[in-house]
Amino acid sequence: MLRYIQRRILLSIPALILVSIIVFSLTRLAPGDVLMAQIGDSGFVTEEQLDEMREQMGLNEPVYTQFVWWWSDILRGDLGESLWTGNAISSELGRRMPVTIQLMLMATVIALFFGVILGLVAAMRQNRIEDHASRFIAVFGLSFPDFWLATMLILFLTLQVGWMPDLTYVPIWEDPQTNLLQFVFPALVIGYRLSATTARMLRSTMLEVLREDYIRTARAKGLMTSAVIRRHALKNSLIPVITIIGTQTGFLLGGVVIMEIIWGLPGMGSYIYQSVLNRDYTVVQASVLILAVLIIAINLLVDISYAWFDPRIRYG
Amino acid sequence: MRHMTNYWKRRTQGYSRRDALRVGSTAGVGLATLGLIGCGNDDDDNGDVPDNGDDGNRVVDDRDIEVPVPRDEGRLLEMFPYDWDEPEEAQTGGRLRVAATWDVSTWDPRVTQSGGTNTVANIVYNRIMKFDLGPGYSPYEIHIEPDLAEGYELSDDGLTYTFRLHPGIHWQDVAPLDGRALTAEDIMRCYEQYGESGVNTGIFAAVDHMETPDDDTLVVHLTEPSPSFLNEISSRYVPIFPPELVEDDSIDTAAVGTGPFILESATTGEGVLLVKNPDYFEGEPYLDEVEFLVRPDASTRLAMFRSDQIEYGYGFATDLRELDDVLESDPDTRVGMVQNIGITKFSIAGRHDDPDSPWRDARVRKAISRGIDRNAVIEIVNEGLGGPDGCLPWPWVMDDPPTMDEMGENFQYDPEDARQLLEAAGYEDLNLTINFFEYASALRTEVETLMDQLRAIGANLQLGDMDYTTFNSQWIGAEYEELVYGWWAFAHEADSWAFQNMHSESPSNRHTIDDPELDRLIMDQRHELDPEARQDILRDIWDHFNEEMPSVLLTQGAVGYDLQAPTLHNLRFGGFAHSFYDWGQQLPRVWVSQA
Repeated sequence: MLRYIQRRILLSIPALILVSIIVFSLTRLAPGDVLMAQIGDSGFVTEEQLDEMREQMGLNEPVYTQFVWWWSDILRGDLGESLWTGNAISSELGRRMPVTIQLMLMATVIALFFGVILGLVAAMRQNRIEDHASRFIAVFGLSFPDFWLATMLILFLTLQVGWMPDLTYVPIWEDPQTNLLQFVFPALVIGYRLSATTARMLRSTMLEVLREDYIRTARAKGLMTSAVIRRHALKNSLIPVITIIGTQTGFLLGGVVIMEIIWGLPGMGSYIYQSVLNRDYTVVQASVLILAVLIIAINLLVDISYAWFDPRIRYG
Repeated sequence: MRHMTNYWKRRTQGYSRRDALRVGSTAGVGLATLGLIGCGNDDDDNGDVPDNGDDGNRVVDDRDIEVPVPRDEGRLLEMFPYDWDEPEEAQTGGRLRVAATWDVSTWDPRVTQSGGTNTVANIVYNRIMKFDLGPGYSPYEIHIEPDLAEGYELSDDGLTYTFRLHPGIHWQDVAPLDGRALTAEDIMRCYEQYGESGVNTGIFAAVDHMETPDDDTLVVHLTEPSPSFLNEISSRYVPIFPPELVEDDSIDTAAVGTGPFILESATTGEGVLLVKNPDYFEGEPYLDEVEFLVRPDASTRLAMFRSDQIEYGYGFATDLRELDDVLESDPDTRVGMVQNIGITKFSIAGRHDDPDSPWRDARVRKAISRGIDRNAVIEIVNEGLGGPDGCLPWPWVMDDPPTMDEMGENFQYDPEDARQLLEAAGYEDLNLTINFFEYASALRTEVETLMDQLRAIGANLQLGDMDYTTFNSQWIGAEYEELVYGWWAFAHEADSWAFQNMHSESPSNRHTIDDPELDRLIMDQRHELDPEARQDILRDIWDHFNEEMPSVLLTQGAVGYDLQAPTLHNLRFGGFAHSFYDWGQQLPRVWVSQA
């Protein structure tokens, strides 16, 4: 197992280098730079002044020089400074990562909770009203974009309920109740969509597993249905679901960006989004690199978890 | 009475609004020396920061000012009065919470005019003179009033400004300034910084040299008369920062000024907290704290307003239908009507410097202009509340907003004539891409309406949708290929406005206009010292532009809106000096009702 993990970590290094090259290149291929965003609607700015400002920011250096500078900083553990604010990126990410991770975790828990229930109900009551209802809920969730659901939820809360959670972020260690109220609604929106995928995947794999010989054997042994489902069917059906959760991490981040903006949560998603608009190259590069590490780590965990779900799987 | 320069008093007493506008637009140019101007900051004479009452509340003095009434917006005024009565007693304390569209940025006002920098810098810092805003100020005039200087003197030849500083001003009691006294040399060094590099160098282009005969006097010598100089240095773009922040290279992350509030904390993606400066030279502000919450999403801002999480917001009710929705759910909401008098201006710009560009042919430009039904655009986009847009904000040129008929032939909708003009120019089937960034949803509605109308005359415009930075990268350097739905650079005076946007040698002439007659008129008005004669030249610029239409002028919506909770008092935006980023001048007298 240890050798497997080591091998996976080693293999992730070229992937990270490739990611860094792609991100570094793509950010610079986009028209405009941070100066264009920064000077905004200013009146007098000559080309000479712009050049001078670019010189001060190091943007006039050849691209390969900038790349080497960036990587030499990274290897020293320095993520650099934001071109837009001048703040250290590491401290900014350190403040924002817990927000994003909390939102992703809560969304994933909600997705698993509802997805597993819906998928189980649908599989066990195949072609009955419960199955149809479950599939309707799942398709409904997949049919509406996150931002629309979130906007409708906000309108519902403010106009119908007459209440809104505090939209000014409070860390969980300062006020857990307020914090959870702030996160639960965006997590519900993201989690609902993800639960739809989970439910559909679980339904189909459950139906397949329920027709397996060992399930029939378990039933023939006189095990109760709940025991058959819990101990034999569900565990084996979860591997594809876990795989989906792992691969959905990237997509999850897409939803997180929108939710962070709409719900006023200062996480990494909104940071990257704003930095892309501002052409804040250093922030985009560092953030994407960190996210790439996160996604690789999550997928590694997913792979490792297969062995727990299915003891036949061994890593050597 | 609020403090007001003798200069302004003398020039406005007994004069019509038109005269006042002329004076405002030609402030300081060609006038005889009026002596050192300024009435100081006599608290007895200052309605902004009256004495504390026994009960902790303060009495707000009545202002000896005629409350301005915006013109020709009768229907709207009935619904949303520009001005409304405020309680006579102001309460102290509390926090004002504002939902901001901008994010935390650099605090260095030399390098950007972005919203966050502008807003915070103009609360933490002061200017040498200022535009005053708020209840009781006309949205059609620029009131230049004392700020750090108690007044100024202008030499007969219009070449030398002498500013006398208000006595006893100190920097905020925050490191590295630690409350030391402000000196004239601080301001001179700040202006030198602005003149050396950054986005405000143009403002100081006319400065020859500066000197400080003593700690309280700054003398600025110009190379030529500059009608704009005083207005521009009184604007929000030129706050006075201390030399220490430049020396220790912390000006991008720190802000320590002389202003009414002290920067307490700023967190990107979250917001900015400012606390009151108890030693503010104009007196202690009413509010204890002001918090700007970064909320880029309009629905979030509206939800916060509806759930009493903020007292002030803008940019989430853009038309009457949306306002109706808000007022239905929150009937106590106060709607601030923000007059647009042409300072926010978009037009269709094309390349005059490309020999192959159809835009060089005046017939094409006139065809485009006559193919636009501006009245229909005003109906569709602005619910009938608006008018034609000129090349200058109209109050600098005329008394009342112009009607469509008064704008001349090229503003009249005549699709048949437009088609014939295109045919005569050899462009029966004109296909061009127009660069566009959606600053507001109404702009998309406008540009799509224009495209629809122009299709009928054989001009097919393809929308080149872009994000903000891509758009800017092509617009700011005038590097677009065909057409742009482009904004006009903002300025606080007719001279800087005209030169920046229309003169062939201006770096901000993104419309690539190269019209010798316009160049001549722009320089003529700059050197004309007689206010009336100068306004005649501005009118000539206006007429010439309408005739040649080097950039196709469109329409201006009459108003914008901001929403205020009923607990918020003494805050008004609007008019010439309007900007949702310009808080510093008003904030000391703004207060919030406490429960």
